[in-house]
Amino acid sequence: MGLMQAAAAWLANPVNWSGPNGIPARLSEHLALSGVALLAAVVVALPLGLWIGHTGRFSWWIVGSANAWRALPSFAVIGLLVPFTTVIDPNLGFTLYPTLVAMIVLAGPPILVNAYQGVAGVDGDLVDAGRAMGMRERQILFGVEIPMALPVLATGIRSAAVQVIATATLGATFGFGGLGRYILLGDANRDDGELFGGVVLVAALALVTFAVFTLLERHLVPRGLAAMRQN
Amino acid sequence: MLLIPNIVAGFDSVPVDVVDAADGMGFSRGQRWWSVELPLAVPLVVAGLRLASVSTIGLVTVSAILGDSLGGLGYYILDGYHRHFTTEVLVGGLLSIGLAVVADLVFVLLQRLLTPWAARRAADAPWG
Repeated sequence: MGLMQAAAAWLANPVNWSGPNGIPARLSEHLALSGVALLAAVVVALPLGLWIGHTGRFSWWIVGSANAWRALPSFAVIGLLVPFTTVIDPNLGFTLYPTLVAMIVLAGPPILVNAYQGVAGVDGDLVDAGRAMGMRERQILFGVEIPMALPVLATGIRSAAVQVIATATLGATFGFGGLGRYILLGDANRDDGELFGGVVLVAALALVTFAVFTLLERHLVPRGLAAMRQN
Repeated sequence: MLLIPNIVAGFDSVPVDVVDAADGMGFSRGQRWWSVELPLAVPLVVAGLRLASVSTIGLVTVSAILGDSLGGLGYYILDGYHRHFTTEVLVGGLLSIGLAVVADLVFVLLQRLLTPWAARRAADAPWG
């Protein structure tokens, strides 16, 4: 109980809500980096996954490596990137870049794999029906395959978003700010309030992210498909 | 946390027809569970074990942050980072990734041995 009280006291202390190490500042750092990483991963992985799912080209590569990507420990990925990013930029390469690149690398696979599997899993009869109606390939992709695949696509992006939030927390160890900073500082200063306050903030952020993307998913799924899934 | 949903999904995925067929053949509940439902649930159960093992290995690496006595291979990543000693970071990073990949492969092999008929399907599970 003492830990929770210490965390609550730390969270309630107005000192922790202002300045460059305040919660709003760290939270916006965390969210900004996460947003950039997720956006970059979507821009790269989504079109690639859709294209592979539609054409079936290189699908062996995704099927073969999809599970291997899940095995990557985030901490090791950030660490491995340090030697390479420091070559590019000695300052940011030692702080911001390893975390950012690791976030993109780790967020890409769920988006890519689900985009591929969502599109590849669309009933072949529907695609043939679209083709028979004279739809062009692009129309089939955007009018038939993507709407049908939306639930799987959205789940992939949600997994990536939660992964990105978690990886940004680890970035605190490698010189990036964000909410992970409190966990690191709380541990170093033997300050339980700060440590567990940070833990609560990160866990809450991950849960909120999950909930927001789940809601988004419900709104995105076409009405006809939602009705079909209920039956 | 990672295991339970997969185990539930594994048993849910057993087709009702197969369960009915076992009932029709006069299997008792125990026999039906052991020789029909369990083998058919194995692919998803193993998928859960793979995720759990890999994320546990990842967590051990991270716990290096909390002190030298913890963290296993993560220690090298952190120590190398603090000393600007890239070789140590690379060794720690590659070994932790290697360990996770090997653990994953062990479970894949285990599943091939347990359910040789299902080897192809399990690779296709979507994310999340």
